[in-house]
Formats: sequence, structure tokens, C-alpha cells
Amino acid sequence: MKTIKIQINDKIGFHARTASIFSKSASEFKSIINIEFKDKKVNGKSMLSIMSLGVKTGDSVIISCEGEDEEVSINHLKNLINNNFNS
Amino acid sequence: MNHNKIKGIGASPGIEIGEIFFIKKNNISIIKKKSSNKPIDEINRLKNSISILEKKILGLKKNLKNKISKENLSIYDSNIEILKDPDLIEKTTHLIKSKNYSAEYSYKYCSEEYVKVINKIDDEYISARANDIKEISNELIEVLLGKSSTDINFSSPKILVSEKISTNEIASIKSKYIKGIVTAEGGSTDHVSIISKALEIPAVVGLKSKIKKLKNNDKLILNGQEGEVIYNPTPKQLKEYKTKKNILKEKFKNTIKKNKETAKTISGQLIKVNANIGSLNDAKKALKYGADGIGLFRTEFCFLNRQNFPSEEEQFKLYAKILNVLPKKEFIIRLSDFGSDKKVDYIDQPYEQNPAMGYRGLRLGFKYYDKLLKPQLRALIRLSIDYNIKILCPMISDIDDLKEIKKALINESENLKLNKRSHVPLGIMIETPNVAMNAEEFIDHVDFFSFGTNDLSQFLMAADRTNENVAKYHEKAIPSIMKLIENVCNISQKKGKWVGVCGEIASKKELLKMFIKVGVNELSMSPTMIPEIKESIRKIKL
Repeated sequence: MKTIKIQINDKIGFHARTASIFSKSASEFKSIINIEFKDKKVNGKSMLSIMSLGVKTGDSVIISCEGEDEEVSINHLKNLINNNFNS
Repeated sequence: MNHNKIKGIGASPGIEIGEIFFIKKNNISIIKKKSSNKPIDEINRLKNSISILEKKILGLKKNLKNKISKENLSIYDSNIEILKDPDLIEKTTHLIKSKNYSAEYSYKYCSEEYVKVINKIDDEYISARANDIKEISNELIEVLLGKSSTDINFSSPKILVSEKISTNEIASIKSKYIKGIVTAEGGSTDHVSIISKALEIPAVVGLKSKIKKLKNNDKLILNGQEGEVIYNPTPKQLKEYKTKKNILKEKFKNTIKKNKETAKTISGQLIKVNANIGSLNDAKKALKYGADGIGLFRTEFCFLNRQNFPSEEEQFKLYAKILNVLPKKEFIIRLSDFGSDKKVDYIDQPYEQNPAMGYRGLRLGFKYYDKLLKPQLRALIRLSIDYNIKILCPMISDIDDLKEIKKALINESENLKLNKRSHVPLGIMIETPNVAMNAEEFIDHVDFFSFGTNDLSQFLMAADRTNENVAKYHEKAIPSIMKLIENVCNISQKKGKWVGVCGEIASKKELLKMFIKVGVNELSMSPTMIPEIKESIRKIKL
């Protein structure tokens, strides 16, 4: 399993657009992808679950990927967030 | 206060006068909790209905394709995503299986759970999405129950009035038949507001229970500017608002047209008004506010929050995306200006006593040439074949640095072995007193100069621009800066080169006349300032 802690810097945080971009990207991978924030852990492939975390700009989340493409998926998602969701 | 005026929230600007088309909502039908079907059949019914609604939304999106921006169109993608959310479906099917509940009840129950959680989040943007979830859930239930969604059918333009209206409903009506939208619910950041703004349909939302005063076929004045409606208007009110509407229309047409036009003084002197940008969004703003071009693209802003150096390919792709927003315009692209107050994790910088006067801008670029400057130069040279790019160098105080960057540009250009090659104009920022006072030494090596007045005033006044305690000194630098600009303009004019100003002071209205007088050719500023500055330039008489 691969995990990283990363800061969300999009100007509104994980709102509908960014949650949607993230979950779409995550869905392209076979790995099980989770996002953890404030003791809550949700499915990174579900936009609604990501939004329900209430992550705001500047907050850090922990992303974990587990499966055959865990290495590729975690790097891809890391870059996505670092590029402020401009894939 | 007029007796027939109702105050709401202005969600999309504009004034309209027309007849009301009142959309009556079927009260949400009674839903059976327990299902008489086998769970597996219920799950299949759910899946079929989801795919029917998905097709319908895709069709609606197609209708709007050429009418609204890609970004706004994505609202419909997000509707589909809510509809097909894996966790929502998983929870729904679990409920169907474990309790033998109906698909309608299960989907409604699970989506309401999300609505509850999301409503608790103290964030206007996210809680507005709770409405989207409710909308989708209601629409899916209608499909499950075999009801056609509210039939909205009319062939002449009307003002739609409803308790609430969904983005899907707006899309299902030909927008030329919608004069305006009035709702009881809603706020200015929800998707209905965004879509009506994008379609340029005036809208007033949030009328609450007062909406009951509006009756089908009655005449209505909708004032999106003030966020109010007037029902059964008097002849006097009608006349007043017809005039207001026409004035607004003229004004709107003129500003849009005028924004895009170049700005000339009364005496006919043209001055370029460009935009400072640092992202794709900024570029879109520059387009919207009518920038003549991009006067300062701060590339480092694209790569601040990350762990590794951006590769040549990555830069190429991102710049191309940004260039494509204004593909025909001039783009003055500044090479990465890291260091000083813009530090990043992937550049290892030693501790400096005075980072503003330390390793920054091109000095840092040379130090990490292969990882920092080289990929950027190569990406820009490749793009210069198809776009009107000029390269701007940050933090040059010494002629040797300028010669080195020119050499690097030529080298990389040769190394790339491109079939087509174009000369990429090169300019430098004037942000050190040395260049400003001794521009003669630099002029033959550059195509243009651009004054970065924020740093220049920091060095002229010996006042740190990041230190609030000495902020007052920066205002006082203006007379000296003006003298230096005049000096550089004189030298440049003789050699047929041009001078721009891209710092904070470029958008100071009181200085415009002076800039033009001393011979500044280009001003670059925050996109939203552009319409105002262009307007002021047009009034200048020298």
C-alpha cells in the first residue's frame, strides 16, 4: 500500500469540481483508493463521499492506494493535486 | 416601497418584462417503502432508470454545447456523476438487498443521508451542491415511477416562475423561450444561477413564500440587477422599466465591444493594455475583460505547490493550454522567478540573510540550469512557432547575466533542431536601479524592457516590500520611478525598442497621462482593471 499526506491548494478546497476531477481520475485505476481526513476515511472514487469530508483549501489529507497499480495511481493523484486539479 | 415589489436575490443580471409561466411541481409522489419485487429485480430497475436518466442528461448537455462554456457544461457531467456515484449506488443496493426496500425509497434515503452531511459543512459552495443531489434524486425517482418529468411546453418567450428549477429543466427548454427565471429557493452560487448567467438569462432567486403572489400568465418585471420582481406593474412602472432595460442593453453592448477594442487617447495615441496572469483562470479573465494581450505571465505561479521540477513536456502542455485561451494575442512570458518570497520545496536554497537580494530569478535559473531554465526555454521555443511569444527575464542587474541568457536561448534553439524556427523576442524586467539608470548598456541586447515597479521601489527606497512596517515608503518612490521610466523610454525610442510597465503602478489612473507623455508603449495589470483603465485612456488629451 502506498500513502501520502498532501495539502489541497485549490482556492475552494475539495468542492464539487475538484472532488469530481479527483474521483474520475481515481476511478481509472484498479487499486482501492481512500482519502482520510479528520479521522474519516472514504472511497476516493466517490465524488459524494469526498465532498462529505468538507476539505477546505490549505487542509492536508492522506491518500492511500492499494492494488496492482498503486505506485502509478498515487503518483498520478499526487501530480493532479499539485497541479491544482489542472490535469 | 411599492406594494407590488418583491425582493429576492439577483442571481443573473439584466431586466426583463414578460408573462409568467408558472411551473407547478408535482408534489413528490408517495413512495412505497417495502417492495413487493425480489431485491434483484428492484436493483435492475434501479440500474435501468439510472441509465435512462443519464442518457437524458447527456442529451440536454448536447443541446447547450455551443451556448455555454466548457466549464459550465461540466455541471451536467457532475449531475451524471452524482447520479452514478459508486458509494451512493452501493449503499442503495445494500438497503434494497438487506431490507427488501423499494428502489425509490432506498435511493431517496441514501441520497438524503449525503444531503444531511453536506449541509452541515460550513461552506457555501459545498452546501449548494446538496441541492444538486436533491434534484437528481427527485428526477431519478420520477423515472423509477415511470413519470415523465414536468412537462414544460410553450412556444413564446416567458418568464419561468417556480418553487425551484433544476439545471436539467433549464436545459430542456430552448433558451430563446426563457426570458427570465424566478424561484422561491436558491442562492447566488448554486448551479441554476451559474447556468442562467452563462446563458445570459436574467434571474432572481430566493423569493421564499412571497412567490405565491405570482400567478400564471400575469405580467411581471424581473430586475436581475437589484434582485427584485414587480408583479402586475402599473403603466408608469412598465414605462420606467422599459427605459431602464434599453439603457442597460445599450450599456452592456458598448462595454463588451469597447473592452475588446484597443485604447487610444483623444489625440489618437495607442497604448497597449495587457493583463498580468499566473494561471489558466487568469487567462480566461484576461479574455473576458478585453486584454490586448498578456503583458506578464508569471510562470512560477503554475509550479509553486509541488515536490518536483516541472518537466519540459509538462510545461509545454500547460503553457499551450493557457496560450489557447487567447491564441492570437501577444504573450510576454516571464522565465521562472523563484526565490525571494517565492520558495518551493524542490529547489534547495541555502539560508540567505536577504533573499530579495540573493539567489532569485535568473540567478537561480542559471544555478539549476538543467532542471529549471533549460526545460522552460525549450518548451517556450517550441511554442513560439505557433504562438506570438516574447520572453521576459526576471532579476537582471548585470549585463553578463543578460548575455548568458541570450546565449542559452540560442543554444537551446539550435539543439532543438526544429524544422521551422522563429526569432523569439527577448526582453528584461527593469527591477534594479542599475538597469534603470544605465539602460544604454543593455539596450542593444534586448527587444524590449518591462518595468517591474514593485521590486524597483523596494530597492530605490531600501524598504522591504514584504514588511508592512515600511509599506508607506513605497508610495514615495513614484517620482523617482517616473524619472527612470522617462530615461529608459528616451533611450529605447532612439533605438526603436519599446517599454512596458507591469507593476502595481501600471493601473494607477492618476499616472496614466504621465506614462503616455514619457512614451510608455504598454501597460500590464490585473485583468479586472482593464476595462476601467481603457476607459480612462480614451478620455486623455495630451
